[in-house]
Amino acid sequence: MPITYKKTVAVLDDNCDIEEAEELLSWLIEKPKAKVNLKNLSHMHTAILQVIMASNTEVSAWPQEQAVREKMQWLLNVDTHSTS
Amino acid sequence: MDPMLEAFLSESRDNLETAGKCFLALEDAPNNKDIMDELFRAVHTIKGSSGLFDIHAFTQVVHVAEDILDNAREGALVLDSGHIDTFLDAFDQVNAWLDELENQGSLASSASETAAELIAKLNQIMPVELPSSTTDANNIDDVAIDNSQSYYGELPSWFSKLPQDQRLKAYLALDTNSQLFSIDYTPDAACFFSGDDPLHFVSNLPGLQWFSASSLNPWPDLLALDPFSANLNFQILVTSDNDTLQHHLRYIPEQVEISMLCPSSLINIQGEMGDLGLYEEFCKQAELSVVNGKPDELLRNISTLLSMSGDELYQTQALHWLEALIKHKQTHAQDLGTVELALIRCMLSGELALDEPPIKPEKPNTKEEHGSEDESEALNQQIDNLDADKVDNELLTALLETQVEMLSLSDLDAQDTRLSSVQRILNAALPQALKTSLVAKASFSEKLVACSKAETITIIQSALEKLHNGGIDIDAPEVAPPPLLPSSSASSEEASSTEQQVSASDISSAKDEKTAASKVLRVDQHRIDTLMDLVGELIVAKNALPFLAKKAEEEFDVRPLAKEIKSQYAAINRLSDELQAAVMQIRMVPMSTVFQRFPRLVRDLARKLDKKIKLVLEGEETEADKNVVEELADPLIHLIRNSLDHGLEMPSERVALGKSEQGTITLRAIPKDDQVIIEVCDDGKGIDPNIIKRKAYEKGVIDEERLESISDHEALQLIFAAGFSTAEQVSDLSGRGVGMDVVRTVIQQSGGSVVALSEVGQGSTMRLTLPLSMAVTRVMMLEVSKQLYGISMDNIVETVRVPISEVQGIKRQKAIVLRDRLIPLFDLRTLLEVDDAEQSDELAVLVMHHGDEEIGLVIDEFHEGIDIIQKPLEGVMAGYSFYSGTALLGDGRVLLVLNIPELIACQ
Amino acid sequence: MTKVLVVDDAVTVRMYHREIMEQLGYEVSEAENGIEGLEKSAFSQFDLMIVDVNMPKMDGYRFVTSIREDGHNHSCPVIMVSTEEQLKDKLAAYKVGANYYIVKPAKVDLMQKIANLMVEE
Repeated sequence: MPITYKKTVAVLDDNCDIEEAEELLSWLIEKPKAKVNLKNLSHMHTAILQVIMASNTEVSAWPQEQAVREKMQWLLNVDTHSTS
Repeated sequence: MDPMLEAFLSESRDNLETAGKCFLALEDAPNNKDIMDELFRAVHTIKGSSGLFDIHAFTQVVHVAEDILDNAREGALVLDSGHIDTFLDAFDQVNAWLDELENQGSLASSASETAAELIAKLNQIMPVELPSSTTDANNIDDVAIDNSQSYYGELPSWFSKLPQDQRLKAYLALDTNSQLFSIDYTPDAACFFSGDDPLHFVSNLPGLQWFSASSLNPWPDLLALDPFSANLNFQILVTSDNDTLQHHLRYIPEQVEISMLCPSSLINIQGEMGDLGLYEEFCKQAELSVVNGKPDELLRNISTLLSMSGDELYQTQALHWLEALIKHKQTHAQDLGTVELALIRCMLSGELALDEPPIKPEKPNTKEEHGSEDESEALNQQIDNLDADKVDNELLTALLETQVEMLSLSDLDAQDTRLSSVQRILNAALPQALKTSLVAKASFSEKLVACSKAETITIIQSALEKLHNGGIDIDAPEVAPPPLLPSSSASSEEASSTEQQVSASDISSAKDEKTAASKVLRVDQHRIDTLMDLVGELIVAKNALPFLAKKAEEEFDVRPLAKEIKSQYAAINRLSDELQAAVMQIRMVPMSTVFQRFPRLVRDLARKLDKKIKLVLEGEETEADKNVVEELADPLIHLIRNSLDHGLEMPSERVALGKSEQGTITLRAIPKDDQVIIEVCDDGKGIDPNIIKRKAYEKGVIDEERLESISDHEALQLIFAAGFSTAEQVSDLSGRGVGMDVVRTVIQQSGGSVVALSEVGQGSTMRLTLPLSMAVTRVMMLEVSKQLYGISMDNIVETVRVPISEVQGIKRQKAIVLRDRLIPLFDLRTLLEVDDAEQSDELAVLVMHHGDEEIGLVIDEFHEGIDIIQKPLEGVMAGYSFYSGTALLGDGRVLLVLNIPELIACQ
Repeated sequence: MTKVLVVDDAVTVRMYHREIMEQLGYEVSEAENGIEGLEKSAFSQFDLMIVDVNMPKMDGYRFVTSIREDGHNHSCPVIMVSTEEQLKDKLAAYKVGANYYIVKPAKVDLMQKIANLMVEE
């Protein structure tokens, strides 16, 4: 399972495909304060990114892999996901 | 019709025909390299030229065909018959479009649909990506971007969000092969359903430097969020070359907006200005380090200064940039330049002079088409108000940047000429931009010429910098540091005036060239040949009228009708003569087309032989029929080679003989009535007739009796005899080499003659006499033994009737004396080996040129002269060289045309 | 008078470029390929050359290379024109010593302005 749902953290591992998006969304709707752990992420599908961005979910752990972390931080860390 | 369209139609039809032939040939020899090349070129030319007209559908189809053929040419595909059918269909349509263009001046409105169908079929052979220029209507914009890559786009609004370290990283990633691009990518809302993952796509873009994403529409409440509908806009920064990037984005052209950005816009320096006093000394030193190319020294000073500067200061940030840039350039062995200078200067001024890149100008015409009316009007006004200098400056910027790029790309060995071409352009371009503020226009060019490559580049960069800032005073010391320009003293006005003289001397020749070229109409030679054939047939048909008149008079006894026919004949005769002359005129080309080859030949041979030789060309403008001129080339090469090889002496020999060291060969064309005389003269040792006589006798070309009777002039002509020079090399002769008989044969086949003239010690002359045109010949008809023959009118001097009593027998040769000239007689009956005629007391004699002398031909009866189209003999008759050909007469009879020189030679 | 050499194997294109240059009052000579271009260049000094890339016998690259090698036109400003619009084609032109590159069909306006800039008055 690429996404493991803990109590308040969804752990995204490896390659998270589009199929996971709906489940993640439902889970985040139920737990608005939850965070995502991207430590072992290698790639997330755009649909998942949308869910995380739209829900303004906090990241509890950034990817270990340098190239992935850099990209995720560009996308989620800075104040860019407000409406342009 | 527009002459350019006309040329396009004719050229494209020719190329289509070539393409068609090539396709057929390819069926037998698939992917034959030569055929493929010819085919590709034909299609390529059609495509290239079609771009000049507003016929996109046409261009698209040809373009796709060209791309597939290019692939086939590279071996990526083997064309089979099915493919070829598809191509032939497509080209049939292209041909039909040409007709449409010719008749209506434009393509039918259905053309784009037709084109789409054809392209779809062609794409089945091999999918070809159409570059945007041919697929979308905005192609003008694309081309404009490509033509002037220096026209940078406006910075996107998100640009300020770029993190500092990404800016530096991106800046350093740029090299000569890449540019900075910003991409705004808005994926289709439904893109997930077609399997797209935009994030994955963006992450893998080549040269990705940075990207981010924001929601396209504000995110709805999570309950209303459809995760499968894309609602994102990506902002992307890449460094890449244009075509790689275009290639990656080829599937989503409508979802991206790309603009090329000025690299220096990455440099973003903010913060409070520190105490200027601290930096003044550093800046002075630093500028010198840049100018003198001492990066190490500069880096040391920077690190010293950095240790003293507060992190938040404007200057500190500038120093960080400076340090990074210098280190980067050092590792890539690049020279420091304007960017570094700008960074240094901004530490004092608080303003980076590179901050505002020029904005890409909108194309007024596309704007008019696509923009609202208000917008286009505003733009027009703007253009009206625009300073003419400003318009030039944008292009000038592009031109100058290209020069830097070109210099940086070139190999070392070619550097000098490139550099001087760049300097020539700078000389031309910069003063135009400088206009008012130029300090010393004259000395500028002189200084420039002395500049090295690096110096020239620095000057260009300074000029560019000034252009960006709107200022144009590039001579100002802080921009182009004085040490770079060598001081000048002499006035350069002199120099420029000499230059003008030089170019003035070339004007006259170029003028001729121009008028000649502008008059040329390109017509397929076959068409002219067809026209010529028709004229020929007309002439033959016309010849039937006198027969008809005769018939009317003699058989039907209707004299008035005969008279009427004769007068009609006269009119038709005149018209057909004029028509013939007009058609022949089309085929006329100047002798220069063949003469032009010889200066080079003579030069090369003279060098090889260590001789000094001057070639003089005379009468080059003399015109003759294309075929005649072409036939002439080989004999002339032969004659000139002989003159060079055997005629002209070595320089030392010449000096010893009291001649000038340099020998002269004169190649001369003289028009004479309907003939042209070509002479090859040399001032060499000449030909000794006695040696020729002896050699000819030894070789059995002449018998003993002839050896005694032969004149010097006749002896000279023996060099053209068939057996004379083939047996052995005769370069030991004071005269000619091998193969002169070949020259004579070729010239005679063209209906001409050749004569050798020489004076021992003074030189020799080969004189060729050729008809101006070979197509229609005028012959005289004559009768021998009840049979009709023709003899070319060209050689006939006169016709006389001589009482038999006046014939003298000299040796075995009969002769007559005509106006004090002794004319040897030849009996055509004897020559043709037909029965002797019954004796009459008067002889009909045809006096004609034979070589350089005159002879008399005894015949039975003269008839009228007639124009004929001579056809070569075919079948068994082809072996008889004493017939030069046959012709059809107006009444259907066949006329044999005699070759008298051959006939006499056969005797 | 300013002299321009137009080298292109397509009659139509030569005509087009001639027209553009003649409008500027320049004197135009034409050549059908690189070889002919070199011949023309041997007899006249030109102020500008407009050179096609893809031609039979001798292509534009080889022609410009030869022009830059020696002879009295070695420093002549050269504009290369081609239907190819990729960067690599452009760079190839600069590499052999062309001073500017224009994608066919060349805009009249652009061509005239750039020629004006490149040619000394």
